[in-house]
Amino acid sequence: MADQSVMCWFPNGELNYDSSAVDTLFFVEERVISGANGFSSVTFTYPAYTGQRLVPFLVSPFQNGDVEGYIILSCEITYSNGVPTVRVYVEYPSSSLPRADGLLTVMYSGRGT
Amino acid sequence: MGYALVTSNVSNGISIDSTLRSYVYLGKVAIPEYNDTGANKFDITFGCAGYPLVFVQLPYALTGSGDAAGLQVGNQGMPLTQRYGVAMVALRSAGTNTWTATVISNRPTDGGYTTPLGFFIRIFGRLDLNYPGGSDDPLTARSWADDGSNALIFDGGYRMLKLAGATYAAEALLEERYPGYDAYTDLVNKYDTSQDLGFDLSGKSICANARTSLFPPYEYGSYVDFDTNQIVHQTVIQYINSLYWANGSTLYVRKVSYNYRYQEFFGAYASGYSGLQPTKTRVAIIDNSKFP
Repeated sequence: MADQSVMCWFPNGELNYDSSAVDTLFFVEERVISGANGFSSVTFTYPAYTGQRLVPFLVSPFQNGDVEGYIILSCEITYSNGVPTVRVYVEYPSSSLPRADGLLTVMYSGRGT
Repeated sequence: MGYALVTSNVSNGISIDSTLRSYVYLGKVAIPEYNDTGANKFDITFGCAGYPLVFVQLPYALTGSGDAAGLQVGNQGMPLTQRYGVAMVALRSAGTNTWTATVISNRPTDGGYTTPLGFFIRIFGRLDLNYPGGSDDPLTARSWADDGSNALIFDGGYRMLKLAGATYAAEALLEERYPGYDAYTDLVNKYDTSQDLGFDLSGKSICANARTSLFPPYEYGSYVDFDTNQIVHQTVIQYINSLYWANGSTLYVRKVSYNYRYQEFFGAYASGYSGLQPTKTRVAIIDNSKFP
């Protein structure tokens, strides 16, 4: 246990929270990734979190059409000079093929890289 | 101007910070039970202000879940049906503060495998946008943002998001592979991935806000349309989902292909086989018992 921590119990005696023992995620931003064509990847940087570990989550599809009809392939995070950089890859950015449709949520782990 | 509060865990990670927006447990919703074999999709609607974090219950050492059998590669598809798993494949806004999660669950088509019972998704939302309600414990710790917004960022009377481990550094990597192109052994060996997370995964849920759907198109053929005298490219869109299950301390991510369709289009072919990126999925795990 840390020297000082926030601890909270429920009225039934259950220890609900001990800040010295919690790993959690904090909100950074959410961003819609969409487009019928014209890009194969898109990159976002977070210089305010330099040296810190971010956690990107990508749901796809997000809003449009049926589950099968849309393409977003992957997102990854790298740390270029310590700056968190999230790249979302889009496969086959052709107007003839299904559109890109996804929702990127970037979280902060509370930890350094 | 409020008072800043920052706490750290024993690993020097921030657990409370009044400049940050934290998440609180809003409740769980049952995944409908079903009797059909194969991949089944369910829409589950729930309330949450702002974008929710959805955790899906991990199937743990279920009968048949370890089966790698049934991988068949044909020229029109790759029915990876003999494997169990669940994932969320879509999340949509269904109106003000209402969301619909589409959850896919694959039940193997033979072998007498069990229907999943009592499976839930667990919903978390930002505390500054959601107040869970219920009993309001006056004797607990609360903290508000010190940025002038007066946003509530911690409430010890509710269940704030607590991960079961610092797994967010883990990344489940699924390599790109192409049915009808890559060698069968590569499809068998590299369409799945697993990671030992170092703690028991029974009774856990995994953050489902991850891209699990994969629809790699590949060229199936082409012909000349004599009406227009243009080349028509025939493309197969393969419907593949990455499904989770667990055994011991090992998390498995497995691809299940449950359907395909054809698409034809005129003109130059957009790309070859080289553009498909590996799937990289971040891992965040919670303990179900902490979020009843």
